[in-house]
Amino acid sequence: MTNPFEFKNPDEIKPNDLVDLFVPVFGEYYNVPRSGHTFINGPRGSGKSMMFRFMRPDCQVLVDSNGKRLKRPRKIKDLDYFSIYIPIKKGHLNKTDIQLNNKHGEALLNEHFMVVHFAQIIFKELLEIEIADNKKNRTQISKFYNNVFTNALRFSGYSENIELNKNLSPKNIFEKIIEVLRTIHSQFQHDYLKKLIGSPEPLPYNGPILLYTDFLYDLLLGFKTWDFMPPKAIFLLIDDADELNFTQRKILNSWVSLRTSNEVSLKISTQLKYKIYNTINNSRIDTPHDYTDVNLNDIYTTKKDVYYSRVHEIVARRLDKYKFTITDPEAFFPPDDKQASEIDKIKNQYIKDKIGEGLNKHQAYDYAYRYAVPDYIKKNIEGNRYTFSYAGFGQLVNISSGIIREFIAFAFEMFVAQQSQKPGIIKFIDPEIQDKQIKKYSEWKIESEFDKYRDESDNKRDMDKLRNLLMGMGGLFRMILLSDSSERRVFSVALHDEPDEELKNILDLGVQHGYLQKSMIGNKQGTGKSRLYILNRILAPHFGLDPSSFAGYKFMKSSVLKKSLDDSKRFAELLKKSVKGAKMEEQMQIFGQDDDN
Amino acid sequence: MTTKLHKDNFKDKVIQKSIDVFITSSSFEDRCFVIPRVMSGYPLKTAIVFLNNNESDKIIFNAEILSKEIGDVCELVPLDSDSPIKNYIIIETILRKITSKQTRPNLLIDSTTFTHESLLVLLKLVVLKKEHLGSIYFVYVGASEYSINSKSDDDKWLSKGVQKIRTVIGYPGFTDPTQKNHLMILFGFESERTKRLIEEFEYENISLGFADIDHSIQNNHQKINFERHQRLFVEYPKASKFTFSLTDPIEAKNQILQHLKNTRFKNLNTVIAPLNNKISTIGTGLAAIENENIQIAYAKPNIYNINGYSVPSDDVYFSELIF
Repeated sequence: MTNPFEFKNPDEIKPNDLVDLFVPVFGEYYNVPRSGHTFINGPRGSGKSMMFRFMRPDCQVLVDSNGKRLKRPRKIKDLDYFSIYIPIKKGHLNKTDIQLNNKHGEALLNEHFMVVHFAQIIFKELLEIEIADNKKNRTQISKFYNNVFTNALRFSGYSENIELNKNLSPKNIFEKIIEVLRTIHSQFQHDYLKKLIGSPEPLPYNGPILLYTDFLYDLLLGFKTWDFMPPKAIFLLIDDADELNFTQRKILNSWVSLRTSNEVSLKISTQLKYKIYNTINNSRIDTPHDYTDVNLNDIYTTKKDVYYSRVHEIVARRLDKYKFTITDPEAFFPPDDKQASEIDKIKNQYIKDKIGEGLNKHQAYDYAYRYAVPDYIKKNIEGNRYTFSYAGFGQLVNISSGIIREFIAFAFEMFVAQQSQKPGIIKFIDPEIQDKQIKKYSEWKIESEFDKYRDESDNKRDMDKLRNLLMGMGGLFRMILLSDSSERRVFSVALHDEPDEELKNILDLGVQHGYLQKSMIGNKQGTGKSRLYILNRILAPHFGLDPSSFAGYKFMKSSVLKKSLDDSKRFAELLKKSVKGAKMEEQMQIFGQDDDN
Repeated sequence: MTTKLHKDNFKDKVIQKSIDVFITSSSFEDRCFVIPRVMSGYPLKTAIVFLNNNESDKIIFNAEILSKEIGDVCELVPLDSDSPIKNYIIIETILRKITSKQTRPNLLIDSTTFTHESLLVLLKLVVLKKEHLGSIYFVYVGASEYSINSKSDDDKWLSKGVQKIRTVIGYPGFTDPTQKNHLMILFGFESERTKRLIEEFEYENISLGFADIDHSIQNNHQKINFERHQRLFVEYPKASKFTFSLTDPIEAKNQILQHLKNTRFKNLNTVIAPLNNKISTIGTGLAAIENENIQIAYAKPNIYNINGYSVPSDDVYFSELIF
């Protein structure tokens, strides 16, 4: 039985399957499919490569402008944009040797290296879309070769004779172009780059220099003379731009600054490590004048319903694709029946009570929704976090905290566990298996994965502080959950004031490793915005918290939050008096500390 | 051809070779003392001790001991393991100085405790300057035990984490973006670091190599290496398998090149990450010098098992590089 949650590299998925599996996200990220330069930032697993895969012509011909599957594929000419995928692989462009020439024409040589590399990929992509071999295409593409390509090469200093045989097919012409580019790429790498080592003097480069504005951009404009191309912008989908070296990133920024996006739009994905927004001339590129940016993580903190629907649709599509009898995600990941019915009982009682007290129906429901789960945890299971079940699709979506690959990863583990524990046809995942696996996953995140990050970190002291901060926040939220506070589902800390450098640094570290999410909210005085740090709900099972999507936040001064960096237990003690009915006994279990520590 | 010798017999062997220049690297490991102690009293013209003084203080401390033991001809040369360009310039300058002062000097390089990256840069420069050098010898001290502070085989570790992955200067390879990619890992003990490399590269083809049982330093090491290697194959079932020598760089080079002759890997962009001992790293360097299309990647660890990395064995491996 196929595990429907198996991760596949988007490159390996066939267009038909991809269209079945991909849930269009452009309602939220509306800038991505529009002309204009865009940076798309998100951690590994947030769906960048999948989005790019969907935008490629072989998938786009299968869907309409809204991403809905068409009965018959449309023509390339009818596409809303023509995109070309350019992955930046590790070790391809960022070669240490190129830094051996850091004075003499460094920018030009890096740009040449990038342009030839990009151009080769572009023509390989054209080769693969299988353009019809007819008279019109032959004429137009050979005209492009003779007028645009050859001239652009000549102006770049390439003097070899690259005459084209007559009457070649589009495929043959593209192959010829790739061959010429490969020769140029090979000459640069073999005759220049490799000779930088051991050269006592700066090594002169005598080959052609192919640049963006004089070469690549001209070629891309030339594509528009072909009748089969859409009269729309060409998108270069540059994936993982963090893999470029600093000089190359500045060069890419320089291309962004050219504002040529009506003709050629650069869609640049990064894994949040790009960090440089200066051009090669050290002028800054800014949003929205030069580019727009999309942060894939923001959706969970700003539009939770959208995220829920997206995961719902992704899971439903996968279950449908692999022909499961149950394709409704709610039924495939059922909650623990007993727990759900007890919580429902509490909810119904609260609704009845509150209506009796004179609240209207909406207010009564709101009260019941807000208190039923916390009260169940506090009273029915007496705060025993090992007894509370995290099964159920809704809870699991909340726990995945906006990272789709996170949901897919633990769903994969749940499916494997179900297969091994209950062999046979799988109709759904048992709630006990879901609960056990999600708790295991949550422990792994805060223990093994954290240890791994700590091991890999330059500054272990900072990682220890981050761990204290997370323990402090988790412990505080747990204390609030079991208290008599009016709002007991707290998952975030809002700061009254700006954190100092040290605290900011640790909070950023938490965001960088995905343990925290950052957002802004209106401050209490209504005079501006405050920083909000949300604990990743993947830690909810570890701390025994209620992961429901709506949650309040705890306002505090940054100097108070800072106390947690050195001593998470003292931090909780300090806040205990501000939390009505808070108890510390429970707290100790969460911190896992004793007085000797 | 590599000769395996007891360390007490090494002096007799090396005395016949008229070594002019001895190059080694200080380390936090006691293995860095074995060959320099044999060489003390040897009529050297020059001795160079490299040290990464941005790393553990123990490296600096041990470098000073080495300097005293080797004597007046010894020059301590600081490197910075975070600055590959700076290191390249320093190593190149040292070699230039040596070749300008001495006519075709015979070189002995103790590869044991170099970082993989510095060793590969040194190898490349030595090959580039071979016209100005006499005979070039490499020596390596094996370890009788690794990770001595670990209770069980499962806990054994030498280094953890990957701070940075970069191409090694001198081995940029040839990249053709229209071709598929191939990552070859010379696996040692560290499964986590290997997985991290696979994840970071996201290449379509993976080859995982493990130590050849006939050419391993210690059978117990080979057993751990083999078991962990098997576990990796469970996780990456599509990966190809190859074996490589840990005792003979030429053999390791030939095994790597032989693996790449497989039609599956023809014309691919191949990157090799050597994560095992220095003999196999030299073999990797020689393979990439012979086939310049190969790129070598260095995965700088975050931490080393400084307190229990290894115990020196009595065996040394001595080889002459002939071009």
